[in-house]
Amino acid sequence: MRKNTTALFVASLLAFVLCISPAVTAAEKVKIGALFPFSGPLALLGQETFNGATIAADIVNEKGGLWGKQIEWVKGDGVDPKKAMTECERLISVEEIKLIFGTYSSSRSYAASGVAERNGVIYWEEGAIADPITERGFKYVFRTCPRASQFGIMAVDFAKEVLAPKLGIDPKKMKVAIMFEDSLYGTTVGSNAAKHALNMKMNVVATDSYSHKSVDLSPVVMRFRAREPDVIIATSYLQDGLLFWRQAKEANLNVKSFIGTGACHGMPDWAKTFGDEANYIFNIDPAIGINPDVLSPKTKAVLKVFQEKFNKKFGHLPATHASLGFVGARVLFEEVLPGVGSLDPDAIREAALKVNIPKGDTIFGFGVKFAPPEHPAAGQNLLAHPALMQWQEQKMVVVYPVEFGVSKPLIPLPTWDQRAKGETSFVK
Amino acid sequence: MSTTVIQLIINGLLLGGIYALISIGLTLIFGVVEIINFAHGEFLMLSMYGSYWLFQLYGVDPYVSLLMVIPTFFLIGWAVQRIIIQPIIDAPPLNQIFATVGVSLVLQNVALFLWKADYRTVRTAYSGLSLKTAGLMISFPRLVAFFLALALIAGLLTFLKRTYTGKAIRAIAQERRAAMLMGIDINRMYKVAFGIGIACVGAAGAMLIPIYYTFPTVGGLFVLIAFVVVILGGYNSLIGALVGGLIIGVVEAFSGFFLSPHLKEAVYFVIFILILLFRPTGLFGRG
Amino acid sequence: MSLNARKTSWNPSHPKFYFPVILVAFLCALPLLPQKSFYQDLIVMIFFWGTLAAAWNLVGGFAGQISLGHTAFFGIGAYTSTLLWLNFGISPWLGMLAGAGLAILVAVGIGAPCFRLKSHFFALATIAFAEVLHLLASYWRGLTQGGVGLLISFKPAIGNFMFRSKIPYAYVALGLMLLIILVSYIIRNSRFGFYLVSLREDQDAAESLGVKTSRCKLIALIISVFFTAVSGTFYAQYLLFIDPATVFSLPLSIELALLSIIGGLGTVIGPILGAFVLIPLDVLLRGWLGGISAGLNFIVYGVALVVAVMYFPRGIAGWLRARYEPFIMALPGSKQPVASEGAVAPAPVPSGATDPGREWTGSPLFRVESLNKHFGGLAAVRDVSFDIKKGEILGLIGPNGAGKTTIFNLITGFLAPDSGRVEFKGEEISGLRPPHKVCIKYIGRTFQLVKPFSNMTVLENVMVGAFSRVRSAGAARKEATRVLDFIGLLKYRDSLASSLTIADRKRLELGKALATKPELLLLDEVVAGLNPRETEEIIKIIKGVSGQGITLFIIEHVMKAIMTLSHRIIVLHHGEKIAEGTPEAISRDRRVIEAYLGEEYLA
Repeated sequence: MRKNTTALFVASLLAFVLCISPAVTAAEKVKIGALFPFSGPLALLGQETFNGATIAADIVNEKGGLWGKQIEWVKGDGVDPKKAMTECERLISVEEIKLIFGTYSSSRSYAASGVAERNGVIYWEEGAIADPITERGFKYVFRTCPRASQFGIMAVDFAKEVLAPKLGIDPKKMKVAIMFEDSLYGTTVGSNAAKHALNMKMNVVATDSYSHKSVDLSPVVMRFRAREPDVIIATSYLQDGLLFWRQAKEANLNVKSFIGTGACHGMPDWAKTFGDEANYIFNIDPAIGINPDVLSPKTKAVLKVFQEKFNKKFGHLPATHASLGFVGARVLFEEVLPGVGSLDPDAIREAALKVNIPKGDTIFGFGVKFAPPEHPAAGQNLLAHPALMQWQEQKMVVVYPVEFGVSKPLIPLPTWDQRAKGETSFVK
Repeated sequence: MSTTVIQLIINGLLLGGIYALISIGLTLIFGVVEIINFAHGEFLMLSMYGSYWLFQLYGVDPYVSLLMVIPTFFLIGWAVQRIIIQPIIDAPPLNQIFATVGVSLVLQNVALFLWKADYRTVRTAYSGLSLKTAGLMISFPRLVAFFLALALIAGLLTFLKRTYTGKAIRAIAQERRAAMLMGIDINRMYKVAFGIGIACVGAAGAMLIPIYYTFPTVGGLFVLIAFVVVILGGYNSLIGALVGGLIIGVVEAFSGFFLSPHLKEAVYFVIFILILLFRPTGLFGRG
Repeated sequence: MSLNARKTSWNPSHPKFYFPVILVAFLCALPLLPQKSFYQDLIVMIFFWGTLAAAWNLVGGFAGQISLGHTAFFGIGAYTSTLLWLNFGISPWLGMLAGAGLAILVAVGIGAPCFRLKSHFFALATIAFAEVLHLLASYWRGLTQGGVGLLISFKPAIGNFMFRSKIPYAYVALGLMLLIILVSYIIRNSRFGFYLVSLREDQDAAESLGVKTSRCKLIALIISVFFTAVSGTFYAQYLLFIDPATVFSLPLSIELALLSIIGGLGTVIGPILGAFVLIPLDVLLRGWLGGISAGLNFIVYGVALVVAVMYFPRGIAGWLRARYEPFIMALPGSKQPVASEGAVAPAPVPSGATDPGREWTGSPLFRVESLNKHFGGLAAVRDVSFDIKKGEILGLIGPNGAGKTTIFNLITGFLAPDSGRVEFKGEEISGLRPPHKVCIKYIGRTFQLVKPFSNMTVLENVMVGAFSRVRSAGAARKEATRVLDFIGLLKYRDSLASSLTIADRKRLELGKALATKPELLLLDEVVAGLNPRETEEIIKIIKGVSGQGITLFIIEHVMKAIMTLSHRIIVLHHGEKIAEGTPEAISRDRRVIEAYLGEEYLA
């Protein structure tokens, strides 16, 4: 009996030692923490985002690494915000990480970045968009991507500036229906869109939230059908976004335009699932595939390399989330860190605040300049903004802002009957 | 306005048909083996993946895949009953609950490990097809699922009434001890009942893959609904599963439209609690 | 699970006492040990989860009500204190109490009515209830900000319940954990604890012994909800961010139960052990296996859960149990005489065997008039009237299905009569329910299929009955010992009830009821299934009971027994009383012979 106990004890001790031993052997590496939801409900996009970041590290490593040392990722699994926090703690105090890269999900980012800040460790956010992440006056939190409020606002602005005139509708009479799933992402973007639309004095006919766990969205379809909006602004994760469109077709819900705001409507699955029926939907996201004239030649080359390497390593071209991961990591590894020489958070911070990348020098087309400490959004890349794209021929093309556009927006959406016959009736 | 109401009823019935389909297996298991199988949703997930891969790799249409899915899942149910359920059949309810919770956890993450978190669905010629009549739209795949639910229930009822095995199963559901005394091999019958129950879930999965997406955690969405339907209908009544499913579907459609899409699930959960409190045998269940 | 019925006197130099003190001291020192904040965080999490699990255990383990919706109370606690802080600047310490109060109100209003559901259904109801709250929290954006969640700005100060270092958090969590351990310990050794375990083991038996099962469950729920809601506030103040998905999550409810199950359900330290083992293990597995491939650690987790539930139902505490005693005894200071209780004076065996066949004279104690009960179309009890005189032994016989046990159930509050009048000591008690009220009025009963509290010792079983008349564990123990001596089970006092033979279980059944000091005792087929020697012994005991002046109402099929014992017999057939009289008269009654006894009996 006692032998078993001893054996058990020794076994657990061994297991524990094995677990922490990687920390001991990494002498010649630059260890960067990677905190993403690698398992659980958000695993899909969490992993995808991280994949993009790894390409940025690979590129630098191939050229000899950072300060002559290879970049090594140390992963933390942010299954949920609690665990994200614990993982952050583990990365900081057990793995002795000084720089954490993450996180895709806003709720996990909140929780974990707070931990980082209190420990004086850099938290580099690449893709979580909830505004308050950079509204806490934190010193060590930096975010390269745009904020949720910008998505909602852009949707409404586009409706007002482009859709309304093209459709010949008075913006104040334009009927807007807003739908969003009930998690942090959906609620943030959706409520902001609703607020902005009301501020613009548009006619908001419906603001419907729904549980992301719903297996049926026909009530939303039916409500929209009853209210006959001119434009639907949607914030949906994958399962619900795809379901809604399927049910919209089944119920013959026709609308003149449909604007997605990231997540579902920008993912390759959108076209993969619906083929031609995916066409002419708008989506707002940081955009790759913007008008190449906006990009600097250097960045054009970077884009090409990124797409090639990503496709080679993962078997498909990178979409928005992978690109966000890439951009966040690239700015870090190639613009901020090289001059620093070590992973000293205060030095990194100084270097970050000095960054001034002009428009056109990231593959998204926006520049990078982090708000200084006095700014209410300290740490936020103030030059980041999304763009508006449209699915045309099952590919996403940028149409707005105009100078970023590669193509003109095709308005209005064909009806389902027209789609069945392959007809369109776009306004000139 | 009335077209809307009729459309809502149609939507509700079609949705309810799906709910009923998923719940038939659960009713059978619950009524006979008297176990709450928290991993029920995961079997649905597995069957959806099964149909998906059959389609992707061999081009087998999901409706055709039924022929393969049903016997396979019967065997899976048999095995699960033998390996996991049987040892805990007399354990306290809490142990039973958590054994199946453990199974659910394992299945979800095996799926994650094998197939990653990607969303998968099957696009067939009839996937988005709708029948149009009198200004009403009826989704074709859902209609098929609805009729399959009816067919399954009819088939099961016949089986239970006419065959020896079926009668044995009913006997056990009514009075376990007496059935044992009559010489019925309880454990064997449990395996049969569990097998049939899981086979039903398997069939449901094949029906659902043209309509929904599958991903490792899809089971969690459906399992709670299945419980609500089973309790509402009466936990040992197949007709109850059908009627319960239809009622929940219609209630969901109406409350989603008139109240809020966000609260529709809350409405049927509240109904669920009320049923448990005031009429725990459900609509058709025997005491 | 022993409730430590045997008491030992206070002796600080005995390891039994000083070892737990050492443990507590170690726990208090624990937060100060690690340098790295990761380990400090781990300790905070262990204490936090330990508290939550122990709180759940009060309802799920002690009372046996499997709640999978405890997250609802967690969320109410978290949101209440946070909203009060953000909107009104009320200190989270006060907000914590407000949250607990609100959670308790909700629990009592909604959770309590669900208690009458059987375990599986209760579990489902709690899941649904938590889901409804989840949906409301994410829908009601005006109040809770919905899915966006609530963010608390970091302003460390004691009054704000925010600290810069993890150590104060660890001590707050430790304080909560020690508090709930203390509360659980006190409960376990009190009447309330006995009642909880008894109602978990067998609710009907508990009711028949005077346990107010609904009230007990409610109290356990209230205490449990208090600690759960308070933990919710702690969580909010530790993470500084809450949203519906995290604080109203089903996985959280499941994790709580998990810790208790693996640790040891229904024990005081089980949930704590569960937290100490599983929380670090979770981090370990996630780092080790999760790095290889996502979700691999969960597979291990799930398998471990299934294995634990199937093969180690008593959990870590159960495993530790057998090793704890020898361990304590091996420590210095254990070889001291531990004062035991003085010998219990044996109860005087009363004489006064009853004389069968002789009509008993005495005042009527109990009267039934025109009792009726239908089940659907079946008349189970039809217009039955009889009375029982004080000190009498009345027998009740009849074929199976005649309605005998139904009459017992109608009298003792397990079924409601359709009509009829029941009087006891001149007071009307028709339809008195629930059963514990009947017991309180000094009417006791046994069950046809014996209902021992399997996981309690023989002594503890009888103590449950004794508690209906006394409050303190000491007095209950004394009384129970006396009863055990009387029925001849004293030598088994510390054995688990589940280890008894059927004959001894029948005696135990009798003993439990006797401990409630009934004036009228209903015995349902106490003799059935016993061999002749056992039958003789139990008849002797029953006569002894009668000799103490207790009135008896006995259902029996074994003719020898009932004819020997009864002063009078009534015969039931198809729910109707068809005969009444002395055993002699009954055995010759034509109707009785046809219906029940058979011709052979006359011979």
